[in-house]
Amino acid sequence: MESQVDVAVIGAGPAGVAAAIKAKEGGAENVTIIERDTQPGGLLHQCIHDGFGLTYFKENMTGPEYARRFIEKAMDLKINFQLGTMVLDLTAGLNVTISNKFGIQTLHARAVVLAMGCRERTRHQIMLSGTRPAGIFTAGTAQRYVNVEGYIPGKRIVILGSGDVGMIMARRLTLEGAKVEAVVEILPYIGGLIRNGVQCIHDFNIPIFLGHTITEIWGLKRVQGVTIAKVDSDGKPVLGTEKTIECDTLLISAGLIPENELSLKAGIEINPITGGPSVNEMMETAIPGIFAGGNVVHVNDLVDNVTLEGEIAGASAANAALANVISANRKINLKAGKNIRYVVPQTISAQKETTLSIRVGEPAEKVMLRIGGILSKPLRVVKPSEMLRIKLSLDQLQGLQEGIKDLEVSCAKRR
Amino acid sequence: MKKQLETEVLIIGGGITGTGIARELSKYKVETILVEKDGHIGSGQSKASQGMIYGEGLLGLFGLIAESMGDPNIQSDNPESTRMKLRKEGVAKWPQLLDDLNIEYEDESVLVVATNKNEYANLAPFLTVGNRVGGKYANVRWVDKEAVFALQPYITKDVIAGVYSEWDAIKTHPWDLTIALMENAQQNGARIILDAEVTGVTKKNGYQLVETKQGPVKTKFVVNAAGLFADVVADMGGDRDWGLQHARNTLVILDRRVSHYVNCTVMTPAGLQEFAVITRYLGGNILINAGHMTEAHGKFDTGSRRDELLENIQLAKRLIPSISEKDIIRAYSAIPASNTRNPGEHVIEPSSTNPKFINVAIRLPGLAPSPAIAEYVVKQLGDAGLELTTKSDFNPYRKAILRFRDLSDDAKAKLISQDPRYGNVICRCETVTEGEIVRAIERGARTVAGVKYMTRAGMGRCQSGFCGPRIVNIIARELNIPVTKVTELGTDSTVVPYKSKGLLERKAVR
Amino acid sequence: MCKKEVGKIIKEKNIICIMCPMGCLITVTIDDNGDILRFSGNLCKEGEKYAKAECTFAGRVLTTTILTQNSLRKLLPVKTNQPIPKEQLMDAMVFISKLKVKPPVKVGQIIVKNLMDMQVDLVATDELPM
Repeated sequence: MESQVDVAVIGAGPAGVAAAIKAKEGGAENVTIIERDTQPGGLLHQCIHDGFGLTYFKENMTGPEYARRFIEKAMDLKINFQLGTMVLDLTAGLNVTISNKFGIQTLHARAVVLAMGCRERTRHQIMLSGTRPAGIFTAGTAQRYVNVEGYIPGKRIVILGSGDVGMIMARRLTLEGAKVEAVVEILPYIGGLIRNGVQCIHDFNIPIFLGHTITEIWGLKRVQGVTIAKVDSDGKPVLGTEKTIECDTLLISAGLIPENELSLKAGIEINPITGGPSVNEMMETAIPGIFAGGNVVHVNDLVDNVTLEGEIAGASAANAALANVISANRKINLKAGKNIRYVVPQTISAQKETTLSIRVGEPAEKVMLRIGGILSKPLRVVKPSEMLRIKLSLDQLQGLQEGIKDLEVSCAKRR
Repeated sequence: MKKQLETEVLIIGGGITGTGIARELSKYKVETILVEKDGHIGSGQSKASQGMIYGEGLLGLFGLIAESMGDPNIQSDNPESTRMKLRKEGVAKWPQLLDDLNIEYEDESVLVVATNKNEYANLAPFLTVGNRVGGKYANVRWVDKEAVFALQPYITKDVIAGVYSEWDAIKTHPWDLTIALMENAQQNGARIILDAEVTGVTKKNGYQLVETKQGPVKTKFVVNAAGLFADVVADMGGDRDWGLQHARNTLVILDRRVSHYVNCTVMTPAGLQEFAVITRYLGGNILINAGHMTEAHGKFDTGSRRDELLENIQLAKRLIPSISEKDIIRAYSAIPASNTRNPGEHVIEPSSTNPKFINVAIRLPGLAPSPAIAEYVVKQLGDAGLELTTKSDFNPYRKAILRFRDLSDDAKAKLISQDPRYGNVICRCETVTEGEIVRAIERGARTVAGVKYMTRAGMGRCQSGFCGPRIVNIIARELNIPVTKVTELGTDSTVVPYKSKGLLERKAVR
Repeated sequence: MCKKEVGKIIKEKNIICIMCPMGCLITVTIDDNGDILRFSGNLCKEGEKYAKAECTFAGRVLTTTILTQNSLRKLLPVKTNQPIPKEQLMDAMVFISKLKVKPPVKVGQIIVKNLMDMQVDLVATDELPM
């Protein structure tokens, strides 16, 4: 079965729904969101904790509440939702093949927005030694079980990784009656927000081992324990510091990986640093007509920013669908300089106001954020876990020299 | 108290050997039960295999040289040895069997390459295979640097030369073999009991009583095909004058996205302390068997160790520099065991103190000889007094397992219109549908691992991060059991043991 | 930790400030009347404000789930509409664990009024359709 759509959005998480709304508001008539789960909202459904919407709505909301705002708006705008539907293929010619219980369909889209989000880094990807018993989960999968499916993965939990997901699960499982025996973090500082450090770990007196890693998992049928050890400055375990912690469950919170299998199918190259497609300020990928926003482009911290990226992608997709070509004749590459891990978008036209998402490489204090010669901003503290969003006004961008091809973003210590 | 079962032959162990014997026996009017200690078929060393059915080509030679390095007393290349005869017979029987059982397979080429002086010096024996063995291996030939590059664009620039065997083995997914053999055996009347570890055997008057974790089984004959535990089970049945010794290999599976790194099996020459064998599974994932010879710390040493994974990748990189640990999606260790009486041979014989208890403790390679070993064991059962009357209605064919992902869009659409569950993709990484998972459970899968090996759901890069909860729900629904009772691997491995709020019930309000 | 200083018994409370990424460790010195004598360790006034609030009332919004009945959804996510004392979080969880909720439920609907007499309501954060 074949059909035509103006904008096809892949994923009904926060990026996708925001994109669809802006696409519709931007004039695209047939906007269809394809979502593999049976309900829209993506991971927001299992994020029942609060902290969402602080910047976008100036309210403190839980994940489901945040999702609901946009889903209701999308319904009001009569956006089509194809739920319980998986995208099997995506081509550079903007053909989207989907599968659900009603059959196989190919949507011929005028523009596509990729909003597939992320998957989690697995135990094997971090080469954790030991056996492969039941009881090992990535933190997000455990969160799905606890907050959506209605099951608790175990009674005695060890969590590897102190990123926000790991810390949130430490609190959640403690509240549900499990005992979190330890949170193990390889860096000498927690990986997520301080707020979570206090309200998830400190409040519950959960033992946290900073500068440690798990060197072995024990148990044949079900997890029986883990061995942890201190690490040196290279992250290598220090002999003689091993300690065994009994547990029946291990949660791995070792980071997120943008889920770009469909992007690859369409022939889009994936940036090795961000894990996602390189985009310009319209959130357009290297393939004309294919846009991307949210965690599929790079791992964000705040859903509010995911929404903003999705909105740009959706608005741009509508323009493309309506053939309103906004040609970006100038293409300036943003280069990651000192202590910058990456910048999104990777290229800008400097012809309109643009907000850059900047992630630093290492924590630092008293730094100067520089963007080419057009912006210098002193910052008291920067951390990799807290992305910077810097707006460049049209004035500032017009201050750039003619013919400039590259713009370096750097974050060095102030003298 | 579980009901006591009765049978004529009880096979202990659902690996390539046990299931092969079950299938062979099902040709006869013989009541057969197979008991498997884990929750799914082929759960031991069979699934750890690289899936190659090989005989006397480059892979075969590699194995023989490696064995004699491990133990100079092994007279490995004696063509008259029982082991070599069984392997040859098995290799000849497999093509028909693969077709009859509708098992996916491919012909596999093998390239042995040298990247340094030491390896180069060890290439010579591989070159003579063609002349020595002839037949399918007659075309084994020398390939110079340019020819190697033409065959393997991703090979290292340091390659000096290689030996290439156009046809060297049949490549399969090893778990497909055990599953198919058992299914066909069941089609023809054999029964299987999972989660049924054997705990004792008592010789009674005219029969043997085998105690299992699923209850006792009364049987006339016992076949001990318990793989790594063949020695433990042998002790239950009688005396033995052999033991098992356990070696260890580290294996790494790479993301399918880099499947283009090799397009046939590429390996270093045997005869050196370190080795690397890089294969591509049928499904596209690269499997790397690399490291140096080590001993296992016992039968349960199937976990992986980080330093060994890094060594594995390092050795693989010497052949294919693009290989990176970033592409690892899974790792494990295989435990190739051999017997202490005659390490180069299998033990296939009745127990000296219990003639109706046949011990079948085999060594690598175990896939190739399976059909021949099955016939050999059935013959021994006959010699021990089992009446073997052939069934006139034996059905050698098994229906192929349907793979949604391999169908054309039209075929997919047709399938979905017949059963909408085939439109519901559950495993995103491997494109496995609810329909296939339900069928797998109907065909005997009882656990998450059982579903995985029958459908591939969970074998992808996210390692069931996404599909895990959905598969658990489907298993609970189809087996009509609570989700809290669904297991990963069988007994004692429940996935999510507690219901929401279940742990709070035990806490009192202050 | 009690110290004697100029005849007064003094307590010291350590609080990690969450107002910005600095995460200052603020030490709040409190006298035996419960009055705050001084703050140290904070780099800004926001920290003082936060630390003061935490000393007087360390409140936390509880977000959790409630079991459902007669619904395809197995759990309904809920939250307290105001912070509750952090010492009461586990008791609240035990109390809520015994409840079951039936559809229909709208976002914001009060599920439990005046939860455990703490002058705080438990409200739905998602809907439960029929």
